[in-house]
Amino acid sequence: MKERLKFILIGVIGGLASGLLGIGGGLVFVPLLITYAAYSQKEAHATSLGAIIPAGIAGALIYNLNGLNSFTDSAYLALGGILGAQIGSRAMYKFSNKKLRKSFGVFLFIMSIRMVLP
Amino acid sequence: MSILTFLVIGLFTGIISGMMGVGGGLIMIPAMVLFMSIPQSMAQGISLAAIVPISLMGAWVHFKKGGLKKDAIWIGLGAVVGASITSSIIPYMPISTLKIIFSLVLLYFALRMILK
Repeated sequence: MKERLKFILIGVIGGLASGLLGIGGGLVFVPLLITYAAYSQKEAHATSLGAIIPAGIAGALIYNLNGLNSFTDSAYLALGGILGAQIGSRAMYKFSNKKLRKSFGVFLFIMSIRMVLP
Repeated sequence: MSILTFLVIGLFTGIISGMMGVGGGLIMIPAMVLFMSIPQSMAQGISLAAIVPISLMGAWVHFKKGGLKKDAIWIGLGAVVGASITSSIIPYMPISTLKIIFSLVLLYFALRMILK
């Protein structure tokens, strides 16, 4: 029972972030599962993907009720995303290195600054 | 035109998140906001709905391989509660506030990638 409560709590925290930011919540689930539930990186990643599905459905429906999305646009994004993930996850083993990670970090850094500029 | 832009952003997001293990939302939301001038709240809503089929595909692969644990049910249950709360307050939050919160989170993950 206590164990179950821990997972529900992890879910609530990730869900709050998911709805607020429009993201899946994996950013929250993965580290919490590793730290507080002794999950391996792989288990945390896989289990987090499963938990993201209901959270995403709930969030997407509420955003939709408030006129804040269009499922057709999302469908095109998802189509591209699924295709891209096939390429990306295969490429991961070939080019995964520190330099690439750092340069992508710089790219995200620039995007984060650019977003708040008028 | 916008169909193609959505496809390209999706493709780019999929490649990057597959390679880096970063969630797609962190990439596609700023891309929609910066390159398509979609308001922050709308971009978040579009991202959430796109994440559902993408994670479904990923989760299915892991489910077959056995990496997906049953605890996902309880995490998912809690996550529905959490996501419903914050999604409901989004329409009452100013776009500029949403943007600042999002970019701070993005900044944190960018710095972590650069420094680690």
